[in-house]
Amino acid sequence: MAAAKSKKGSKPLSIAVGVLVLIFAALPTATLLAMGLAPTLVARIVDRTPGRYLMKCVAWMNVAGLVPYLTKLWFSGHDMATAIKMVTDVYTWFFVYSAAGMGWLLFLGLPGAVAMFRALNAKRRIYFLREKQKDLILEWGECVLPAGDDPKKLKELAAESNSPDNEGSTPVHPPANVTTRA
Amino acid sequence: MADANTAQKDEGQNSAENGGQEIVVANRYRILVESPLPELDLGEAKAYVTRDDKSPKEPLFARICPADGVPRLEILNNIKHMMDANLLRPVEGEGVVWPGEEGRRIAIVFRKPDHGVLLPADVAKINPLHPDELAKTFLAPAVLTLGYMAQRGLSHRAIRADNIYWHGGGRNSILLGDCISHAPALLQPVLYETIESGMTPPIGRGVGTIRDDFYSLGVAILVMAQGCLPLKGYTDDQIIDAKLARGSFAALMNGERPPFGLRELLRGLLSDDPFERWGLEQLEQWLGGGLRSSVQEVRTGAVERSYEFDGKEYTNCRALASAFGNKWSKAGKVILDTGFEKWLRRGADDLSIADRIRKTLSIGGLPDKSKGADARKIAQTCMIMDRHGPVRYQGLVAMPTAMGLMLADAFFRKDAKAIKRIADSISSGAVSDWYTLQGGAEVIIYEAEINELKQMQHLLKQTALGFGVERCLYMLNPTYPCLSDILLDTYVQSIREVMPALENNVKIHGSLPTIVDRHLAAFIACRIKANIDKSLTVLDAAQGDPVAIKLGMLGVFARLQSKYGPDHMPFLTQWLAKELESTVDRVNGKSTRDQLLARVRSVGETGSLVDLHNCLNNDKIIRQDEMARKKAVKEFSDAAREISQLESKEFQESAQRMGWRIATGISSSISMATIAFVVLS
Repeated sequence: MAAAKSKKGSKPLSIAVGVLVLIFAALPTATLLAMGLAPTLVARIVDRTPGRYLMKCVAWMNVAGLVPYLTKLWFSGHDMATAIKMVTDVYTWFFVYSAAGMGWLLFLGLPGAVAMFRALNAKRRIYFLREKQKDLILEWGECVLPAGDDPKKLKELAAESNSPDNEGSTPVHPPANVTTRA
Repeated sequence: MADANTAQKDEGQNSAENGGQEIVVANRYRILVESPLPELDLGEAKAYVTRDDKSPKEPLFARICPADGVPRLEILNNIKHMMDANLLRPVEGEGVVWPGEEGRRIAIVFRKPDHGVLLPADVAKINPLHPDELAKTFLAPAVLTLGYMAQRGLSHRAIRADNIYWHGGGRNSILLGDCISHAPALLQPVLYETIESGMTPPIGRGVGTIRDDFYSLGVAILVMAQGCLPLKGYTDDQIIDAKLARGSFAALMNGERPPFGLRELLRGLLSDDPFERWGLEQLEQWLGGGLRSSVQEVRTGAVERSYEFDGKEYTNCRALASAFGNKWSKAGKVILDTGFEKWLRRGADDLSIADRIRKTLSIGGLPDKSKGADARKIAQTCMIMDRHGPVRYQGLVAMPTAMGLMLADAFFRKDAKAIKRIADSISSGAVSDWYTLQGGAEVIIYEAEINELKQMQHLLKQTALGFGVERCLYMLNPTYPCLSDILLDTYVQSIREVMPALENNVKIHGSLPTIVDRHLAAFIACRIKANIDKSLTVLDAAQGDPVAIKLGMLGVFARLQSKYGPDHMPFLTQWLAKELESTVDRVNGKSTRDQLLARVRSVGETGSLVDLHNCLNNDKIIRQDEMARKKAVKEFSDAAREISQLESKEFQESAQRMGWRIATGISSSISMATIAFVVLS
């Protein structure tokens, strides 16, 4: 517990030390990064997901948006004038923040699409499994029920099996000792 | 003997010939119902003229055995083929439906003898035979015939002057009469029987041995030599008392001189000691003129002083044993009385009797005098006092070889008490004691009978279907018909007749009253040449479950059909198929059940019980069905588990997390690609 606390405590310190080193060692880069990584910082603050997926999504796209400007800064002298020029350029803000925004949109939109896709698949699978269960009940009757199964479900399944569509087949009844919930 | 199919075909074939009704036996011999032959009647068996379709001129007659009789059909084939024997030979025997009678009767067809009997019943005296003539015309053929019978292990047990026929053109020989249509020695007067056999009720005399026949032969020789019956006017009890008091020879001679030249012969044949009695060897020597030694007369069981029991004085152990047998409840206390023991020690000619009785009574501790000895100890005491006498147990008096006959008689009369008494006498060991107490070589001679008794004791211990006293009945009487009510009065004597009888009953009545009862199960178990005890145990365990019983019997019937036929039994098969349709419900799978049901219905029409049994008693199908059911249960529960999983909140949350991971992945990929593009360009 003390080790974890000390580990937790040392992380912000390391970040702080890293930031200080960056400021003193590469002020122009630090300036650009300070302005460009603001969306990531915001995402980090508002992110409540386990695994910090929002922050990661925004961070990656944020970095993607910053990289061209960073390379331009590094290959054009790496001075404060270039850095300030970039920081005051509205297009720089637009490009970097748009990239971060796309990351944010990805985070917001993609899980929903994935969930819908999976739900559809699940529904199809459930339908297939229920049909299989119906066939098993038609073939084997009550004896196919394992002990402790939900009697309400059996009654529903039995009712479906006994529907007019299944005329001619043996009617299925729930076991006599099974009671259904109200 | 022709099978039931033939017999059943004969039913209704009563055609009129010369205006009279006929009963056909073996599809060949026609018994003329309206042509009786009273001179050839024997006891309750009436005689009728009979014609052979294949040899119409051959003189034949048939005897119709009484309904309560137990004819000796087991020796019929043996005697039928004794071509050289001077014996009234049977030609055929079969169960027939006799007009005006319920149930079936056994009809036995014989060749008609050339002449009448030696001493007809209505004749008091005939011309006595000269000893030489007697030896030549009577004794020689009788000895030859008894020799043939002894070779086959048979006994006649019906030798008497009114059952021996003159034979040949000049009456120069004899034929020993019918020994089949009645139980052994059933019709023998006490005069012709040994002391022990005379003290036994006729139905309980049993097959005995050839030594008993020699005794009867001796009496018959005396009758022929004198021309009349000895001891005329004597009652049966008086005859036995006289034999016990003086010995059989002296009693039957009754003070008269024996016919010249026959003294040794008669003394030898009429010896009361069966081991001293003359046999084949001595008779052949006597006939050849070589034997002159005589047998000592003995008065077996004689005691000097008298003993009073139940208001009567006795001077003979054997007579007292007989009295104990008849009043066994009183005898229980008497045999423990010291007075009885003293009487034996002082007066019995065999001094060891008292010691042996004492020793026997002491086994397991001397019984309490106030309560008296138990039935087995009383029986053992009687056996020691009368070694060759019958078994005397709780009022039952019978030779050990007659237990089967006694059982048959008791079952016919539906006498439950008598049946129980006979069963108890076997299971208690009283009958086995008789053999044991004979001692020495006798035990070896009776080995087969002793083993049979052990088997009976084992069967009587089990009360399951197919065992018990019913099984004993059929084991001890190999030709006795089945008494099962299921057969509805059809006469079924052999195992081959069972299935046709059942088929016929279903054909006529549409069903059977029940599928199995104790008699049918015991009859089949006894007569089938296979061991079905396992099936019977399963049947017994299924008591109370009619379907399981029917399934079990189906297996037995299928076995019978496969072994003995007939191959096609549509009525019984269809009936059983219908009765057993519900057993298809044991199969859980609907498609298998439907297939099986269709198969059962189609098999019902083929008439094959074997196929029906293979359908319904198929363990493989049941096993496969059970395995498939278990698999189905697993599939159902797996499906339910998966559905539950797919509908759960965790599934939705996992979808969301997956979406985030994908988004992060896409984001990082775009970032990497951008970095790479920027760096490389």
